[in-house]
Amino acid sequence: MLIVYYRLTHRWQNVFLLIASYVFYSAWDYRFLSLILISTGVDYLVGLRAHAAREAGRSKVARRFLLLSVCTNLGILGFFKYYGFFVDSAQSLAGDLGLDFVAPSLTIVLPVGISFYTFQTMSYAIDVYRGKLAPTRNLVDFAVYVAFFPQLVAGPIERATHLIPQIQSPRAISLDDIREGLLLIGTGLIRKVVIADVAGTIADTYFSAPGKASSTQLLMAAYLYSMQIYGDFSGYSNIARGTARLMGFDLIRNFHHPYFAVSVADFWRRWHISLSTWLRDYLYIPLGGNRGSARRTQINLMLTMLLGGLWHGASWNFVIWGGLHGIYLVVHRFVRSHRRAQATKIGAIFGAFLTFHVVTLTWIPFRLTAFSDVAAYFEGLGRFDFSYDPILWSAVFFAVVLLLIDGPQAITNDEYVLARRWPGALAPAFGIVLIVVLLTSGGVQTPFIYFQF
Amino acid sequence: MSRSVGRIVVGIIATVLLAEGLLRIPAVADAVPERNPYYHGGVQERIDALEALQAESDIDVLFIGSSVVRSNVSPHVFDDEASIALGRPITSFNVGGSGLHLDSVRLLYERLWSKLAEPDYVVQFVRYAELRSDKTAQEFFANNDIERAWAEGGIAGSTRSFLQEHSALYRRRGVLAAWLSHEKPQRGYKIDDRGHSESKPSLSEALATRDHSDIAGYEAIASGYGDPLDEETFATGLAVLEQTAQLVEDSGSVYVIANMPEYPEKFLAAPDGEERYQFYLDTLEEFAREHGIVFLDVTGGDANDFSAMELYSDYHHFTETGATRLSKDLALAFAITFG
Repeated sequence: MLIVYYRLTHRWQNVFLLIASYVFYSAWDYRFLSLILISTGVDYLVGLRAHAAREAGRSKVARRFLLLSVCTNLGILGFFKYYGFFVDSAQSLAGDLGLDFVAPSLTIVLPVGISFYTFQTMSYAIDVYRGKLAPTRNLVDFAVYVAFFPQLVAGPIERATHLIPQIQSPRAISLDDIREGLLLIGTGLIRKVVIADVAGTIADTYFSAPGKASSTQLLMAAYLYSMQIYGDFSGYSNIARGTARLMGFDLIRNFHHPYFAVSVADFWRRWHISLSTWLRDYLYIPLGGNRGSARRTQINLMLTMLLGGLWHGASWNFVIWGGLHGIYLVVHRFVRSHRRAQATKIGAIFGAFLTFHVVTLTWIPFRLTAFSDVAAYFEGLGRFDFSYDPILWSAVFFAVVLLLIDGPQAITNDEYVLARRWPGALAPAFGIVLIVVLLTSGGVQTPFIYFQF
Repeated sequence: MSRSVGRIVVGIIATVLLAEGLLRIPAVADAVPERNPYYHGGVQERIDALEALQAESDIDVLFIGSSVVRSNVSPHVFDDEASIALGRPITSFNVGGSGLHLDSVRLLYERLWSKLAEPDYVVQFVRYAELRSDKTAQEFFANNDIERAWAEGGIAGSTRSFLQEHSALYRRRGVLAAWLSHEKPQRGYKIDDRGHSESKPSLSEALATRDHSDIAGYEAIASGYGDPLDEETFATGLAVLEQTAQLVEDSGSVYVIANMPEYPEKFLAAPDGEERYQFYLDTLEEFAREHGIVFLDVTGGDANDFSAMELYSDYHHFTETGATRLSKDLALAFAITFG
């Protein structure tokens, strides 16, 4: 595919990318391509009309077009992702109140990547409305922006201001693009196949029956899940970015060593950066951000994190997960405003240790949907029956592999340190990656966790 | 730039080939053992036993089929009886495997056994429930690497099966994951040197103790074969048998179909049980006649022929006593037919 792509002119490259993206998405279920087409068509027109209205000084008309975009995208998202959740919750609440409420029951398949591309297109309409971006007049270019296959199903959620200019301009692919693209794909494969898939398989054993596991096993399984979700999602992001890089695109960096974060606020600057900045720019700041009273800021933080949790899935456990992070951010903000201590290295290490454990323990309600299982998990951890278990070595192994990938990058503050310092080692290193991936993959396909979101 | 990119590609390929070469060195290969690539650990055990046997003797008869072949046919007993009856030494081997549908038996024969052995006769045992099953091999092997590749075929499937058969590196897929997960090696049933697996306690013992895991086998007897029966019932099964017959013929062996007796209550618990059993036998016999295949039925058309509880460990797997009787009866029928 790359060979064909490299031989095309810029215009035809975009057409080729669009066809490839639609074929890629249709391979999962061609019917849901219609949703992408609706989203693309509506936002393309909204961009043009809202911009024209804005230029003509008709801000009310521009706002109406923005509303059309938001309603269309949130309507698609709400129906396909949240209909069942809200109906079940409403019926449960009505039952508790003694009311007779029965909503039509529908079996709705969740379209892959819906949370990602709806947010991406909405950001385009909002940016055009705000005057931060000129609308795209070329429909193919815009359609590529919405459906760009490397990041279509699990992000990063690209901003139009960042990706559209790259689609519109001719792309010159350098040797560095190839090297760094391969490095991203290689580290992505290690994260996904070696760390996430295997750590996840081991963790599943204990998450599936937390009542039967010892405290050691539950603690290690929590560590393993923590590494699984990081490996899985950052692995996908890296593979997406690497693939895009081979085609001359530079996608936003979605993870910046989140488990080295020294506080929960720092964690959210490093974890799923494209979502956290989206929520910041299009939700938290419009709600008032930190411009109002301390109470108002706390409410804004909580609302943002609760909705951020709900974005991950139509289930109360995701809301609780988001709510817990909201509480941590509020507490962190409160502590920071009352404490003016100098940052020290020991303080940073302690902060990173504490943050990692808080984040890891908060993944438990994210992973387990049944509250009884969450209670059993924490009850098991609270028993403190710690003793040696072979799972310990699995956790150590994955931690070491993650450190070997993240450590040099964090120390040098250079994501491409290997490709830049030892370019000659890249080919054998990539070969070794392929070998390790082969030795790790067992023939059973494990889907990316974030595909479900 | 294209030269630099070419160098990177060559570097990647060279690294992978180096690993492939290293894994062909016996010491390295022993240090990084392969995982069992088949759907069941018993397949590899049978391959090893078959290769060991063939180092000493040619195979005259190969028994293929599901777990009822694995547990109900004893090649040692068969060989002793058949050798006496025929007046010449006979060597047979049992490659019956757990949980196989007819299509899976066909696939394993096509891709594995026909390449490993050249017997004079291939005897496939069939029982009623297998013949009326419409499950395909692809469904059964869906989660396993090599059989899934065989069943899928096409470029992707053929490439995967080629790699599985020829690449030392590919054959070690998942070894690191298995090691990290503290995965226990997949084991098959304990088999003798002819591929016959040891038998379990009899049904009567299981009923007496009521705590045997095979009690579930007895519980299944209560549900007789009572579903609707017509000409279409066996259509899929017969089509698969036809394919298997062709494969066997193409590999130069004589194909034989044999009826596998079951605990008679499975039939007799149904209102039209005896007619049903007869219909099944008639269908098999007619199929064999049409295709010029030998059909062996040691029950002589009598569902009650194998009715003693001591013969069974559940409603279709035999005890050692049952396996000995069936193997003797089969040897006699075989000698009469081919003597």
